[in-house]
Amino acid sequence: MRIAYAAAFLIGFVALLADHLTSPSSGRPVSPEDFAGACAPCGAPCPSSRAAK
Amino acid sequence: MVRIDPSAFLRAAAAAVLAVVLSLPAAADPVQPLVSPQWLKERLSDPKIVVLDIRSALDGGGVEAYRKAHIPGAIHSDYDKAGWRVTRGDVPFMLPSLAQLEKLIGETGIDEDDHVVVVPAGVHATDFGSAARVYWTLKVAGHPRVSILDGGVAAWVAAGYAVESGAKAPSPKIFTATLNKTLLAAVGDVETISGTSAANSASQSGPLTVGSAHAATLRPALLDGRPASFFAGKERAPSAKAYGHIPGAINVDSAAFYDPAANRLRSKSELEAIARSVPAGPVVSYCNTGHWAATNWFVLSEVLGRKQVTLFDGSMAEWTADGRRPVASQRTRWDDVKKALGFGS
Amino acid sequence: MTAAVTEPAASARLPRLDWPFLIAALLALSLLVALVMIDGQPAAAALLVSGFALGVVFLKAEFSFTASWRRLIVRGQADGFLGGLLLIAIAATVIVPVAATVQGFGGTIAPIGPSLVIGAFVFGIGMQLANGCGSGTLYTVGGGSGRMLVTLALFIAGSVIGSLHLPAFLSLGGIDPVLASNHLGPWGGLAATLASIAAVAAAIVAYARKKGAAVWPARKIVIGAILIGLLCIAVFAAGRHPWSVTFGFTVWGAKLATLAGIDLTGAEFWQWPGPKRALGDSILSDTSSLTDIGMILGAMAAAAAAGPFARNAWPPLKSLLAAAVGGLLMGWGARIGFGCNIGAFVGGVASGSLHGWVWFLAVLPGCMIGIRLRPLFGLSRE
Repeated sequence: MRIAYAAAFLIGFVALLADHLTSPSSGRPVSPEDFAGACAPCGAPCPSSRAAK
Repeated sequence: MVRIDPSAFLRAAAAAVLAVVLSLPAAADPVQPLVSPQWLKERLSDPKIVVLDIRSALDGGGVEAYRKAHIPGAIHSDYDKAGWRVTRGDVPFMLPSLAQLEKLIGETGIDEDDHVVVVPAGVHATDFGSAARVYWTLKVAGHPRVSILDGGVAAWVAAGYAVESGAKAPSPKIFTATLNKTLLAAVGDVETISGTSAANSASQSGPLTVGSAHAATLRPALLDGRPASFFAGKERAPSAKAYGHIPGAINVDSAAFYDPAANRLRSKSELEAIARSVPAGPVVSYCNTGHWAATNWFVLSEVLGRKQVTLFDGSMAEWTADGRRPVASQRTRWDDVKKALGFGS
Repeated sequence: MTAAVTEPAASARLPRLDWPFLIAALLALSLLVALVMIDGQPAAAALLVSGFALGVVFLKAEFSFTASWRRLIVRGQADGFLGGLLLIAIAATVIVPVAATVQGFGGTIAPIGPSLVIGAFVFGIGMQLANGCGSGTLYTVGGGSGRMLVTLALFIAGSVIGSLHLPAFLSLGGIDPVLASNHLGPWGGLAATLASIAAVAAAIVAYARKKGAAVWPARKIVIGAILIGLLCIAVFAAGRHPWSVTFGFTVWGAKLATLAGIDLTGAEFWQWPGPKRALGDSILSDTSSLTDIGMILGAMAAAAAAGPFARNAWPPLKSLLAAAVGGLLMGWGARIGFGCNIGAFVGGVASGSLHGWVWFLAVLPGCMIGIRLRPLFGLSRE
């Protein structure tokens, strides 16, 4: 299990680094996403707004 | 009996007219945006010509170089320090207010009757931009007669003309400014253009075909005049708070219009060829602080005669002052890491 | 839930500290903190470190929501569950009033309807088959369990599938979130939240007494609960919303799917501003991912510092099957039900949102079914 675990950990970590380093940068701190109007942390719209659609 | 020879008569008449025309004062010439050292030499004694030497720390010369050697009769106004660009709010290097412009131009000894010849050092492309920016500033303030000396002080000296040393104190005049809004783009205009361009996201390279259904309402283009590395977001000027360019903009480095060997703008046909990548229609020229962009504006509007070319003087400095305005770039976090480790920018 | 005890003779040959994994966990944390600091994001660094601390505490306290709810259902044992209520109450004292009064901070809310109930129910089945929930999966993976790696992998996959189904489940209807502070103000809302926790605690205590089972949590659980509650506050302060676990998994899965050539940008879920931004930006810009990764590393460091790491044998195939099925159900259920035990239950109740209690009521029957299914996979009933 130890070898498989280590391999999985390494692959996962390298993938994380690759994702981060290739992601776009504006070169300045970005403020947290504004979830205003969302009904859940994932950004789902509220039932009342969906009914109005 | 003397026979009158019609052709000889006509030739003499033509010569007489030519002599009169050539001796007319310079003010009667149509004002050219670029003038040669020879042109200026011939009109140096004209009291209506104001030779404005704008050398500053940007060209490595400044007022010291002016005092050592300048075009006879030239007045000096430091491009960087005299107030041609001011800080408004938290954005540096902006166009001054109308009142500030009246004071600056008047105190430099210029009024509406003069013909101003802006003289840069003539040492590199960025230094030409100083002249273009001063030219644009005078035009925005409503001055009717402005030209740039092609090649600057360097070209004058290379032509072998005499220089004088010392400093000529300007005699202040009253200058009444009238804002020429057709040369100026505000950040709100740019937001509108950027939003529409980004939404369309169609390729902006190459001119729109004439005769298309929307030829009458050509989309305005945002022209970024900085080197490609700035446009891509790999490099950043201190005045810009984010890396990259305004979404929807196209890139033509203002240095492309400049011939570094001859130290002047390229020929008109060369300029036209380079400018072909800028679509027909309105153009908003910008860069970091509206300096390099002034060269692009000058080439498109004054030399090539394109209409509706404006300068966004706030440029990236103003655009990035508000963190909510989007910035497009190819920069990645790997670039940030490289910069943190010391081998990037 | 705990790592299987190895023979004394075997463990005597191995060092007390499993250096490679301890160093790996610490180096990984340092590198990630450095990267987010280069980005100018100290809040992100705080989330990584808080997650790390959560991993340490969960592992050392063996704080298992899954096992404690199973003991409650099967034996009426209240101790672990009460520990959970304690940590929620501690977190609520800051989250409810701050979310209601400070600009930029928000609680965890969700609409109440079929989506919430179905998602929670399915999650309940999954968590008992998997032997872990949201936090449980993270700290046992970090603790060196290969079995829970299988759970995590399927959790991630189920999460992406759930993201594609969520809009359809939302259209089944429901009511807008019911937030205590909206109706009672910040302090009235807090009072109502604490009162609801106290009422549920009293009911559970009464139930445990009737069943003659253990009522009060051991010291390890109490200390763990207090520390976790405080760390919930830290996570809330740094991320500006309560601790969430499963959104990170959804983003990881979506990025892997994109890498495999699947285009998710047309799906409704991935057009909502939060998911859209998360998919296009670095994983380290997502608050949920930061605490997830921190927690795995913290549990790894704590486990490696205490003995041999990942040296267990693989469990039988049936057990691995339960792990996989459980992970898949949890992943799907968490997306449909607006979170897991941490995101929906702890986050919801600690925010004063009614959906937290509704989620809990719906997860219980799911747990019951999951517990019934455990013997089929060779797992114990308690």
